[in-house]
Amino acid sequence: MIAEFKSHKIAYIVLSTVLFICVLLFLHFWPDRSKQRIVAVLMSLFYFFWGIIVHKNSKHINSKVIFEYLAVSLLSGTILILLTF
Amino acid sequence: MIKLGTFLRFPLVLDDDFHHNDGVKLLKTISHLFHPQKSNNHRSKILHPKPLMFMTLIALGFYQLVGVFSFVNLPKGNVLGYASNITISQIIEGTNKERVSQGLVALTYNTSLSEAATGKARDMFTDQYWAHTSPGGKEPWDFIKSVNYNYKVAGENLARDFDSTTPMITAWMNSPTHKANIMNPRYRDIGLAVVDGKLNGVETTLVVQIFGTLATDTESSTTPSVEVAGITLENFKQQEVLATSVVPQGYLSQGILLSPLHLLKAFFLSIIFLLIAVLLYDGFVAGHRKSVRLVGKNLAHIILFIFIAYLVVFFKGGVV
Repeated sequence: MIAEFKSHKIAYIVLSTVLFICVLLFLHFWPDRSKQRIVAVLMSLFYFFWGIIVHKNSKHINSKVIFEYLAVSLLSGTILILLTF
Repeated sequence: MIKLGTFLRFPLVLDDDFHHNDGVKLLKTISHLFHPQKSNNHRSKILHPKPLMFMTLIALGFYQLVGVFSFVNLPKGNVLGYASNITISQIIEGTNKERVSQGLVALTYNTSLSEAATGKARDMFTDQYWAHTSPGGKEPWDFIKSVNYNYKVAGENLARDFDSTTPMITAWMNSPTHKANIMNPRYRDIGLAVVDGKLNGVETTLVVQIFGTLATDTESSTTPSVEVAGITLENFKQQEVLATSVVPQGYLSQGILLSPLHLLKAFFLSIIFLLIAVLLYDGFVAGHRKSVRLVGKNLAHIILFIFIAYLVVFFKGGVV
Protein backbone atom coordinates (compact mmCIF):
# COMPACT_ATOMS: atom_id res chain seq x y z
CA MET A 1 0.00 0.00 0.00
CA ILE A 2 2.93 2.35 0.61
CA ALA A 3 4.10 1.66 -2.93
CA GLU A 4 0.57 2.35 -4.19
CA PHE A 5 0.52 5.67 -2.32
CA LYS A 6 3.92 6.66 -3.71
CA SER A 7 2.91 5.84 -7.29
CA HIS A 8 -0.23 8.04 -7.09
CA LYS A 9 0.90 10.55 -4.48
CA ILE A 10 -0.91 13.59 -5.92
CA ALA A 11 -4.15 11.66 -6.45
CA TYR A 12 -4.17 10.45 -2.85
CA ILE A 13 -3.34 13.90 -1.49
CA VAL A 14 -6.26 15.35 -3.49
CA LEU A 15 -8.54 12.56 -2.27
CA SER A 16 -7.59 12.98 1.39
CA THR A 17 -7.83 16.78 1.23
CA VAL A 18 -11.28 16.85 -0.38
CA LEU A 19 -12.62 14.15 1.94
CA PHE A 20 -11.22 16.04 4.93
CA ILE A 21 -12.99 19.23 3.78
CA CYS A 22 -16.22 17.25 3.31
CA VAL A 23 -15.91 15.89 6.86
CA LEU A 24 -15.41 19.40 8.25
CA LEU A 25 -18.39 20.73 6.28
CA PHE A 26 -20.59 17.81 7.35
CA LEU A 27 -19.84 18.47 11.01
CA HIS A 28 -20.03 22.25 10.57
CA PHE A 29 -23.54 22.13 9.09
CA TRP A 30 -25.02 20.36 12.13
CA PRO A 31 -27.91 20.63 13.03
CA ASP A 32 -29.00 21.50 9.47
CA ARG A 33 -29.56 18.00 8.17
CA SER A 34 -30.48 19.09 4.63
CA LYS A 35 -27.05 20.62 4.18
CA GLN A 36 -25.43 17.54 5.72
CA ARG A 37 -27.22 15.37 3.14
CA ILE A 38 -25.97 17.60 0.33
CA VAL A 39 -22.39 17.20 1.63
CA ALA A 40 -22.88 13.41 1.82
CA VAL A 41 -24.05 13.29 -1.80
CA LEU A 42 -21.21 15.54 -2.99
CA MET A 43 -18.69 13.42 -1.07
CA SER A 44 -19.97 10.24 -2.73
CA LEU A 45 -20.02 11.81 -6.18
CA PHE A 46 -16.52 13.14 -5.73
CA TYR A 47 -15.20 9.72 -4.70
CA PHE A 48 -16.86 8.03 -7.67
CA PHE A 49 -15.39 10.46 -10.19
CA TRP A 50 -12.01 10.49 -8.44
CA GLY A 51 -11.83 6.71 -8.87
CA ILE A 52 -12.83 6.84 -12.53
CA ILE A 53 -10.37 9.64 -13.37
CA VAL A 54 -7.44 8.01 -11.55
CA HIS A 55 -8.07 4.64 -13.22
CA LYS A 56 -8.62 6.24 -16.61
CA ASN A 57 -5.35 8.14 -16.34
CA SER A 58 -3.49 4.95 -15.50
CA LYS A 59 -5.40 3.11 -18.25
CA HIS A 60 -6.56 0.49 -15.75
CA ILE A 61 -10.26 0.79 -16.22
CA ASN A 62 -13.11 -1.50 -17.11
CA SER A 63 -16.80 -1.75 -16.30
CA LYS A 64 -16.12 -3.77 -13.15
CA VAL A 65 -13.87 -1.04 -11.74
CA ILE A 66 -16.54 1.58 -12.53
CA PHE A 67 -19.20 -0.51 -10.79
CA GLU A 68 -16.91 -1.06 -7.81
CA TYR A 69 -16.47 2.71 -7.31
CA LEU A 70 -20.18 3.20 -7.87
CA ALA A 71 -21.00 0.58 -5.21
CA VAL A 72 -18.51 1.96 -2.66
CA SER A 73 -19.74 5.53 -3.24
CA LEU A 74 -23.35 4.44 -2.96
CA LEU A 75 -22.73 2.52 0.26
CA SER A 76 -20.85 5.37 1.96
CA GLY A 77 -23.38 7.97 0.81
CA THR A 78 -26.30 5.81 1.96
CA ILE A 79 -24.77 5.34 5.41
CA LEU A 80 -24.32 9.09 5.90
CA ILE A 81 -27.74 10.01 4.54
CA LEU A 82 -29.53 7.40 6.68
CA LEU A 83 -27.85 8.83 9.76
CA THR A 84 -29.34 12.24 9.05
CA PHE A 85 -32.97 11.00 8.95
CA MET B 1 -28.54 -25.41 11.00
CA ILE B 2 -24.98 -26.46 11.78
CA LYS B 3 -23.69 -25.70 15.27
CA LEU B 4 -20.33 -23.99 15.62
CA GLY B 5 -19.13 -26.68 18.05
CA THR B 6 -20.05 -29.40 15.56
CA PHE B 7 -18.33 -27.49 12.81
CA LEU B 8 -15.12 -27.11 14.79
CA ARG B 9 -15.13 -30.78 15.78
CA PHE B 10 -15.80 -32.15 12.32
CA PRO B 11 -12.35 -33.73 11.71
CA LEU B 12 -13.02 -36.01 14.70
CA VAL B 13 -16.47 -37.10 13.57
CA LEU B 14 -15.79 -38.03 9.99
CA ASP B 15 -18.60 -40.55 10.08
CA ASP B 16 -21.07 -37.71 10.30
CA ASP B 17 -21.19 -36.92 6.56
CA PHE B 18 -23.97 -34.42 6.89
CA HIS B 19 -22.05 -32.21 9.31
CA HIS B 20 -18.81 -32.80 7.50
CA ASN B 21 -20.19 -31.64 4.16
CA ASP B 22 -21.89 -28.67 5.73
CA GLY B 23 -18.70 -27.70 7.52
CA VAL B 24 -16.67 -27.87 4.34
CA LYS B 25 -19.28 -25.87 2.46
CA LEU B 26 -19.29 -23.21 5.16
CA LEU B 27 -15.51 -23.02 5.13
CA LYS B 28 -15.48 -22.69 1.34
CA THR B 29 -18.12 -19.96 1.45
CA ILE B 30 -16.21 -17.99 4.08
CA SER B 31 -12.99 -18.45 2.14
CA HIS B 32 -14.71 -17.37 -1.09
CA LEU B 33 -16.10 -14.25 0.61
CA PHE B 34 -12.92 -13.08 2.28
CA HIS B 35 -9.85 -14.79 0.81
CA PRO B 36 -8.63 -13.80 -2.68
CA GLN B 37 -8.52 -16.97 -4.78
CA LYS B 38 -9.36 -18.35 -8.19
CA SER B 39 -13.08 -18.79 -7.39
CA ASN B 40 -13.47 -15.03 -6.74
CA ASN B 41 -11.09 -13.89 -9.47
CA HIS B 42 -8.37 -13.24 -6.85
CA ARG B 43 -10.37 -10.51 -5.14
CA SER B 44 -12.33 -11.06 -1.88
CA LYS B 45 -15.89 -11.63 -3.06
CA ILE B 46 -17.26 -9.19 -0.50
CA LEU B 47 -15.38 -6.40 -2.33
CA HIS B 48 -17.04 -7.12 -5.68
CA PRO B 49 -19.64 -4.59 -6.89
CA LYS B 50 -22.68 -6.84 -6.36
CA PRO B 51 -21.96 -7.72 -2.70
CA LEU B 52 -21.18 -4.06 -2.04
CA MET B 53 -24.52 -3.06 -3.56
CA PHE B 54 -26.12 -5.78 -1.44
CA MET B 55 -24.55 -4.20 1.65
CA THR B 56 -26.21 -0.91 0.73
CA LEU B 57 -29.53 -2.75 0.63
CA ILE B 58 -28.74 -4.33 4.00
CA ALA B 59 -28.04 -0.85 5.43
CA LEU B 60 -31.39 0.38 4.08
CA GLY B 61 -33.14 -2.73 5.40
CA PHE B 62 -31.60 -2.29 8.84
CA TYR B 63 -32.76 1.32 8.90
CA GLN B 64 -36.31 0.13 8.21
CA LEU B 65 -35.95 -2.58 10.84
CA VAL B 66 -34.96 0.02 13.45
CA GLY B 67 -38.19 1.83 12.59
CA VAL B 68 -40.16 -1.37 13.17
CA PHE B 69 -38.32 -2.09 16.44
CA SER B 70 -39.30 1.33 17.71
CA PHE B 71 -42.79 -0.08 18.21
CA VAL B 72 -41.65 -3.10 20.21
CA ASN B 73 -42.62 -2.71 23.84
CA LEU B 74 -41.02 -4.30 26.86
CA PRO B 75 -42.84 -4.54 30.21
CA LYS B 76 -40.86 -1.49 31.39
CA GLY B 77 -41.07 0.51 28.17
CA ASN B 78 -39.85 0.66 24.59
CA VAL B 79 -36.77 -1.12 23.26
CA LEU B 80 -35.71 1.96 21.31
CA GLY B 81 -35.94 5.62 22.20
CA TYR B 82 -34.06 8.72 23.25
CA ALA B 83 -33.38 9.01 26.98
CA SER B 84 -32.52 12.47 28.16
CA ASN B 85 -31.39 14.33 31.25
CA ILE B 86 -32.40 17.79 30.05
CA THR B 87 -33.71 20.06 32.77
CA ILE B 88 -35.56 23.35 32.64
CA SER B 89 -33.05 25.08 34.92
CA GLN B 90 -30.17 24.04 32.65
CA ILE B 91 -31.96 25.42 29.58
CA ILE B 92 -32.66 28.75 31.28
CA GLU B 93 -29.05 28.92 32.45
CA GLY B 94 -27.73 28.06 28.96
CA THR B 95 -30.03 30.51 27.20
CA ASN B 96 -29.25 33.37 29.55
CA LYS B 97 -25.53 32.61 29.34
CA GLU B 98 -25.69 33.12 25.57
CA ARG B 99 -27.71 36.33 25.93
CA VAL B 100 -25.55 37.86 28.65
CA SER B 101 -22.39 37.09 26.66
CA GLN B 102 -23.79 39.40 23.95
CA GLY B 103 -24.79 42.14 26.40
CA LEU B 104 -28.51 41.26 26.42
CA VAL B 105 -30.69 41.10 29.49
CA ALA B 106 -31.25 37.69 31.08
CA LEU B 107 -34.77 36.29 30.62
CA THR B 108 -37.09 35.74 33.56
CA TYR B 109 -38.81 32.39 34.01
CA ASN B 110 -42.53 32.81 33.46
CA THR B 111 -44.96 30.13 34.68
CA SER B 112 -47.71 31.14 32.22
CA LEU B 113 -45.36 30.73 29.26
CA SER B 114 -44.22 27.40 30.70
CA GLU B 115 -47.85 26.33 30.90
CA ALA B 116 -48.24 27.30 27.24
CA ALA B 117 -45.06 25.37 26.34
CA THR B 118 -46.33 22.29 28.19
CA GLY B 119 -49.64 22.57 26.34
CA LYS B 120 -47.78 22.71 23.03
CA ALA B 121 -45.61 19.70 23.87
CA ARG B 122 -48.64 17.64 24.97
CA ASP B 123 -50.45 18.67 21.81
CA MET B 124 -47.55 17.44 19.63
CA PHE B 125 -47.59 14.06 21.38
CA THR B 126 -51.36 13.76 21.27
CA ASP B 127 -51.69 14.73 17.60
CA GLN B 128 -48.33 13.19 16.66
CA TYR B 129 -46.69 16.04 14.82
CA TRP B 130 -43.40 17.88 14.93
CA ALA B 131 -43.96 21.43 13.76
CA HIS B 132 -44.69 24.93 14.91
CA THR B 133 -48.20 24.68 13.52
CA SER B 134 -50.39 21.67 14.35
CA PRO B 135 -52.14 19.62 11.63
CA GLY B 136 -55.35 21.31 12.77
CA GLY B 137 -53.81 24.75 12.20
CA LYS B 138 -53.11 25.55 15.85
CA GLU B 139 -50.19 28.00 16.10
CA PRO B 140 -47.78 28.61 18.99
CA TRP B 141 -49.55 31.90 19.71
CA ASP B 142 -52.79 30.05 20.38
CA PHE B 143 -51.13 28.24 23.30
CA ILE B 144 -49.72 31.51 24.63
CA LYS B 145 -53.09 33.23 24.38
CA SER B 146 -54.82 30.29 26.09
CA VAL B 147 -52.85 30.99 29.29
CA ASN B 148 -53.81 34.69 29.15
CA TYR B 149 -50.29 35.92 28.50
CA ASN B 150 -50.98 39.12 26.63
CA TYR B 151 -47.81 39.52 24.59
CA LYS B 152 -46.51 42.16 22.29
CA VAL B 153 -43.75 39.93 20.98
CA ALA B 154 -43.42 36.16 21.23
CA GLY B 155 -41.35 33.34 19.78
CA GLU B 156 -40.96 29.58 19.93
CA ASN B 157 -38.05 27.17 19.63
CA LEU B 158 -38.45 23.40 19.47
CA ALA B 159 -36.01 20.52 19.94
CA ARG B 160 -36.20 16.74 20.21
CA ASP B 161 -34.01 13.64 20.49
CA PHE B 162 -31.25 15.38 22.47
CA ASP B 163 -29.74 13.52 25.41
CA SER B 164 -28.48 16.57 27.26
CA THR B 165 -28.90 20.34 27.42
CA THR B 166 -25.55 21.61 26.14
CA PRO B 167 -25.70 20.05 22.62
CA MET B 168 -29.30 21.21 22.31
CA ILE B 169 -28.39 24.84 23.09
CA THR B 170 -25.42 24.52 20.68
CA ALA B 171 -27.77 23.22 17.96
CA TRP B 172 -30.11 26.16 18.49
CA MET B 173 -27.19 28.59 18.37
CA ASN B 174 -25.95 26.97 15.13
CA SER B 175 -29.33 27.46 13.49
CA PRO B 176 -29.81 31.11 12.39
CA THR B 177 -33.58 31.18 13.01
CA HIS B 178 -33.37 29.59 16.47
CA LYS B 179 -30.41 31.77 17.38
CA ALA B 180 -32.38 34.86 16.33
CA ASN B 181 -35.03 33.91 18.89
CA ILE B 182 -32.54 33.29 21.69
CA MET B 183 -30.70 36.53 20.98
CA ASN B 184 -33.78 38.70 20.39
CA PRO B 185 -33.33 41.80 22.59
CA ARG B 186 -37.09 42.39 22.74
CA TYR B 187 -37.84 39.32 24.84
CA ARG B 188 -38.15 39.56 28.60
CA ASP B 189 -39.76 36.27 29.65
CA ILE B 190 -39.09 32.62 28.95
CA GLY B 191 -41.28 29.57 29.43
CA LEU B 192 -40.13 25.98 29.02
CA ALA B 193 -41.48 22.47 28.82
CA VAL B 194 -39.43 19.28 28.78
CA VAL B 195 -41.92 16.51 28.15
CA ASP B 196 -41.32 12.80 27.59
CA GLY B 197 -43.60 10.85 25.28
CA LYS B 198 -43.89 8.79 22.14
CA LEU B 199 -43.55 10.49 18.77
CA ASN B 200 -44.02 8.26 15.73
CA GLY B 201 -43.50 5.21 17.90
CA VAL B 202 -40.17 6.38 19.32
CA GLU B 203 -39.95 7.46 22.93
CA THR B 204 -38.30 10.82 23.10
CA THR B 205 -38.13 14.13 24.93
CA LEU B 206 -39.64 17.21 23.35
CA VAL B 207 -38.39 20.60 24.44
CA VAL B 208 -40.55 23.65 23.84
CA GLN B 209 -39.02 27.03 24.54
CA ILE B 210 -41.36 30.01 24.39
CA PHE B 211 -40.21 33.61 24.58
CA GLY B 212 -42.35 36.63 25.18
CA THR B 213 -42.75 40.15 26.42
CA LEU B 214 -45.96 41.36 28.02
CA ALA B 215 -47.87 44.08 26.23
CA THR B 216 -47.75 46.06 29.46
CA ASP B 217 -43.95 45.93 29.54
CA THR B 218 -42.68 49.47 28.96
CA GLU B 219 -38.97 48.75 29.16
CA SER B 220 -38.69 46.82 25.91
CA SER B 221 -39.21 48.28 22.44
CA THR B 222 -42.63 49.83 21.71
CA THR B 223 -43.00 48.43 18.18
CA PRO B 224 -46.25 46.57 17.39
CA SER B 225 -46.96 42.92 18.16
CA VAL B 226 -44.65 40.46 16.38
CA GLU B 227 -44.74 36.68 16.35
CA VAL B 228 -41.50 34.83 15.67
CA ALA B 229 -40.88 31.12 15.46
CA GLY B 230 -37.47 29.50 15.39
CA ILE B 231 -38.45 27.55 12.36
CA THR B 232 -36.92 26.17 9.21
CA LEU B 233 -38.68 24.87 6.14
CA GLU B 234 -37.64 21.37 7.18
CA ASN B 235 -39.46 21.75 10.47
CA PHE B 236 -42.74 22.37 8.67
CA LYS B 237 -42.81 18.76 7.50
CA GLN B 238 -45.47 16.95 9.42
CA GLN B 239 -44.63 13.41 10.32
CA GLU B 240 -46.79 10.37 9.91
CA VAL B 241 -49.29 9.75 12.69
CA LEU B 242 -48.45 6.38 14.19
CA ALA B 243 -49.29 6.51 17.88
CA THR B 244 -51.08 8.72 20.33
CA SER B 245 -49.87 7.75 23.77
CA VAL B 246 -48.22 10.20 26.12
CA VAL B 247 -45.64 8.86 28.54
CA PRO B 248 -45.36 10.50 31.96
CA GLN B 249 -42.27 12.61 32.51
CA GLY B 250 -39.25 10.80 33.92
CA TYR B 251 -40.33 7.50 32.39
CA LEU B 252 -37.92 7.35 29.49
CA SER B 253 -34.59 6.68 31.13
CA GLN B 254 -36.08 3.67 32.94
CA GLY B 255 -37.58 1.82 29.98
CA ILE B 256 -35.33 2.53 27.00
CA LEU B 257 -32.59 0.09 26.14
CA LEU B 258 -31.06 1.79 23.12
CA SER B 259 -31.46 4.93 21.06
CA PRO B 260 -32.24 4.32 17.37
CA LEU B 261 -29.28 6.52 16.44
CA HIS B 262 -26.82 4.52 18.54
CA LEU B 263 -28.13 1.27 17.10
CA LEU B 264 -27.71 2.58 13.55
CA LYS B 265 -24.23 3.86 14.37
CA ALA B 266 -23.18 0.48 15.78
CA PHE B 267 -24.49 -1.37 12.73
CA PHE B 268 -22.96 1.01 10.19
CA LEU B 269 -19.62 0.96 12.01
CA SER B 270 -19.59 -2.84 11.97
CA ILE B 271 -20.12 -2.80 8.17
CA ILE B 272 -17.38 -0.20 7.71
CA PHE B 273 -14.85 -1.96 9.95
CA LEU B 274 -15.57 -5.30 8.27
CA LEU B 275 -14.89 -3.73 4.89
CA ILE B 276 -11.71 -2.01 6.10
CA ALA B 277 -10.45 -5.32 7.53
CA VAL B 278 -11.23 -7.20 4.30
CA LEU B 279 -9.64 -4.46 2.18
CA LEU B 280 -6.47 -4.63 4.28
CA TYR B 281 -6.38 -8.44 4.09
CA ASP B 282 -7.13 -8.48 0.36
CA GLY B 283 -4.43 -5.87 -0.28
CA PHE B 284 -1.94 -7.79 1.84
CA VAL B 285 -2.59 -11.11 0.08
CA ALA B 286 -2.53 -9.55 -3.40
CA GLY B 287 0.68 -7.68 -2.56
CA HIS B 288 2.30 -10.80 -1.15
CA ARG B 289 1.41 -12.81 -4.26
CA LYS B 290 2.27 -9.88 -6.52
CA SER B 291 -1.05 -10.52 -8.31
CA VAL B 292 -1.94 -8.30 -11.24
CA ARG B 293 -5.62 -7.38 -10.93
CA LEU B 294 -7.83 -4.83 -12.60
CA VAL B 295 -9.79 -3.71 -9.56
CA GLY B 296 -10.50 -0.58 -7.53
CA LYS B 297 -7.80 0.83 -5.25
CA ASN B 298 -7.96 -0.71 -1.78
CA LEU B 299 -6.05 2.18 -0.23
CA ALA B 300 -8.55 4.71 -1.61
CA HIS B 301 -11.50 2.66 -0.33
CA ILE B 302 -9.84 2.40 3.10
CA ILE B 303 -9.25 6.17 3.25
CA LEU B 304 -12.89 6.83 2.33
CA PHE B 305 -14.23 4.35 4.88
CA ILE B 306 -12.02 5.80 7.64
CA PHE B 307 -13.51 9.26 6.97
CA ILE B 308 -17.03 7.79 6.89
CA ALA B 309 -16.37 5.92 10.17
CA TYR B 310 -15.20 9.19 11.75
CA LEU B 311 -18.41 10.91 10.69
CA VAL B 312 -20.56 8.05 11.96
CA VAL B 313 -18.82 8.14 15.35
CA PHE B 314 -19.02 11.91 15.74
CA PHE B 315 -22.44 12.44 14.17
CA LYS B 316 -24.58 14.33 16.67
CA GLY B 317 -28.25 13.53 17.04
CA GLY B 318 -31.08 15.83 17.94
CA VAL B 319 -33.51 17.78 15.79
CA VAL B 320 -34.34 21.47 16.07
